[in-house]
Amino acid sequence: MNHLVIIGNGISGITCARCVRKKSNRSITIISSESEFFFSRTALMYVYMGHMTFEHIKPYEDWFWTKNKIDLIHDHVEEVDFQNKQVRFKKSSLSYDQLVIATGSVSNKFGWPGQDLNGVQGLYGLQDLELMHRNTLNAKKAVIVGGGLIGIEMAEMLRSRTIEVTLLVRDSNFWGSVLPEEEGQIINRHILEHKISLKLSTELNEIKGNDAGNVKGVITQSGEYIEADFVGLTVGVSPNIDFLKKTELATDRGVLVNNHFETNLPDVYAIGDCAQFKIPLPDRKPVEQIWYTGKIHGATLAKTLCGERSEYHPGQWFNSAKFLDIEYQNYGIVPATLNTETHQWFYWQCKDAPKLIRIVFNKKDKVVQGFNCLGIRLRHEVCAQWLNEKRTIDYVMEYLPEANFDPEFYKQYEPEIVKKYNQQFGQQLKIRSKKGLFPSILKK
Amino acid sequence: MNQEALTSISLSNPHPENISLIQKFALAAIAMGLLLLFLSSFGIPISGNGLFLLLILLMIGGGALVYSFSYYLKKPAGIYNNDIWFSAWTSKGVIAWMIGIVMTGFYVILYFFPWLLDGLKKTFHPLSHILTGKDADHWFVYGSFYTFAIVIMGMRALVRYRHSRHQLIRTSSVIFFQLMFAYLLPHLLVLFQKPEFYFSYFWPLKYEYLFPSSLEKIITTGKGLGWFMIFWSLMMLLIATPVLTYFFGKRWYCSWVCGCGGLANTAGDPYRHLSDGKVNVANYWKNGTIVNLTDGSRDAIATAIYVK
Repeated sequence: MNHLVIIGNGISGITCARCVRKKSNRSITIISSESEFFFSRTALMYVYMGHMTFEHIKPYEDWFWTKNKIDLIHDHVEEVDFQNKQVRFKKSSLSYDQLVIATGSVSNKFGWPGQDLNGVQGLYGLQDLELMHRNTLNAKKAVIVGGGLIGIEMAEMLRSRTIEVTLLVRDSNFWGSVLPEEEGQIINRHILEHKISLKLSTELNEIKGNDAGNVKGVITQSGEYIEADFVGLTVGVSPNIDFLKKTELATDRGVLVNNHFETNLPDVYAIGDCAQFKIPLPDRKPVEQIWYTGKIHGATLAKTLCGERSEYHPGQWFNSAKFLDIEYQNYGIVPATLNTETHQWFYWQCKDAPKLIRIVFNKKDKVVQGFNCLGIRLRHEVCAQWLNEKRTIDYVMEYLPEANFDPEFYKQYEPEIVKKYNQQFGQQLKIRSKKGLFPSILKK
Repeated sequence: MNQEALTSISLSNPHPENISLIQKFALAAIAMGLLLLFLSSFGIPISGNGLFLLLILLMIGGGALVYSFSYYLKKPAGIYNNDIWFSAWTSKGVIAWMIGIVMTGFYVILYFFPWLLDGLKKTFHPLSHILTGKDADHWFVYGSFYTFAIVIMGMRALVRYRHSRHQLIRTSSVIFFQLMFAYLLPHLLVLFQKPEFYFSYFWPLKYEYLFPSSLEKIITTGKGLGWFMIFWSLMMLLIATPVLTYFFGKRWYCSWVCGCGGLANTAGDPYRHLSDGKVNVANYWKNGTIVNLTDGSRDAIATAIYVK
């Protein structure tokens, strides 16, 4: 059990390698065809926008890998021979004792006519970024298909180069599959404020090209033609496991794993975007395509690889993002549409700024199930603690300032929020805590 | 992908924002203001005139404000760092290199060849007469430039960071402390024949404040006020600084009061991304070793002592 080979140098594979190295001296090799060194995928957009250079988005300097005796191979794995425990490149091969598959995702394409024209692309990896730079050198008008996280990132990127952007969104609001209506509407307005043309309830039908094979526009399902010399397809991602599909490794959408990241084959594991849980944890998706979950996957598997077989315990669900200028946070479970039989929600929206807080709770016992916030920061550890302790909505209202994580001197809205809650639910709750350093010291 | 292809990404933005007509006028005003300032350093006849100085400051300051306000106000409030690594001004490009040389050269002249600034001193005489009742020396010229930079670029920062109440209050604070306590008040004290005293600088930043010779001077020229100045120095040194630093870290001084931090957060704001994040550099800062090696900026030593 000596040689550990990890395919993929994204956050999952890298975290796994680092955590194994902390615990053992075994030899570790990481293979990537995408980039020589690990970089922060979520920061790719900032390289395009000139906020950072590629050097800056490498979380570790290049000497880090030699210093920690982690071998890096910059090559593409063509196939894996699970019988003989070998990964094969075009010209050579490499033996492993244990194999971790952490190959991430590829952008979805749904077989639209014209999806392979020049100037049509998704955005996931480094090659996509480079392609996007070339594709947009002379672009004036762009259409982005897909109103989700990557779609709005791509819109922001293109706007930084003064390219006109039209964003096609299938749902009736931005990110309608995840965000409740009010949140979606705040983001809709903000998108327009950034001079991005937003077409809601609009789906792509066809992409049109000219004789040279370059994109010239798109036709929506309602038949509208929109001119474009660049088309971004940002309709989600899927596990990047094509090279494993015809092997004895059990796969579905991703590589099938149990809660220990073990596949059907001994000594073969899968983590990150490309793994699919056979039995997902309650309220969690079978495929998790999130940076921090990839990190937890990697750290959990590292324990197993070092002899301490460990189960995946990601803790309370959370997520965060930034839609142009508006920060978004989510702790616990907040569905896009409420199951009104079992749950209730309370939301407060600021009258003169794009700020919102939504709290979902059980109808029966008033136990809080999740938080959403836009334009206001809540403190992660406090929200997670409240969720773990199964606090009621009344308790959360009374102690809301404790969770406030906005910078100093920001206006506090708790009195307004609690007032609205009291009016709506006929309560007379009073705020019992204060925000900040001193109150929390005193409390301890 | 090879490294070459990647560096091509950081070459430029092929579609930079257009400069509007108003911005062109603003830039023209800055350029002409700088030209007049340059001319005045040769001691041209008009350069002792107060209105001439006012005109120069208005052209440079007003131009800078109009340019940056019109850039930021047409965008929704938020953080814009677009193109900072593409621009030759902010990414160690050709222009930045030349600015670096000019700035360094200015400091060399200021410290070692101040007589070369005689023309500029003359330009600042009218202002110096109002504030101190004396002719301007090269330190008055330098202090005026410094304060001017903090005020103008501070106003730019107020617009740039208008989404953040924290930044609005903090930026106002550094402008206030520089303008009042590091510029107007010390000069006015001189006007009223009191010791030139900076209430916002403490020992060991102003280590000479507690030299026996300076104590004597402060007391003899300042009388009651002098005793208060010494009391103030001791209070800030022994009580305020340790207590505030314990609770808020060095930022209470560096980001809220200090002129050096003030300049970094205002005039230095377009360049803040250039600070090196490499592990060995970060370790030097963390261990406080490099702090003593930097440009003799004594505030850094002061905070290093408290922070350590």
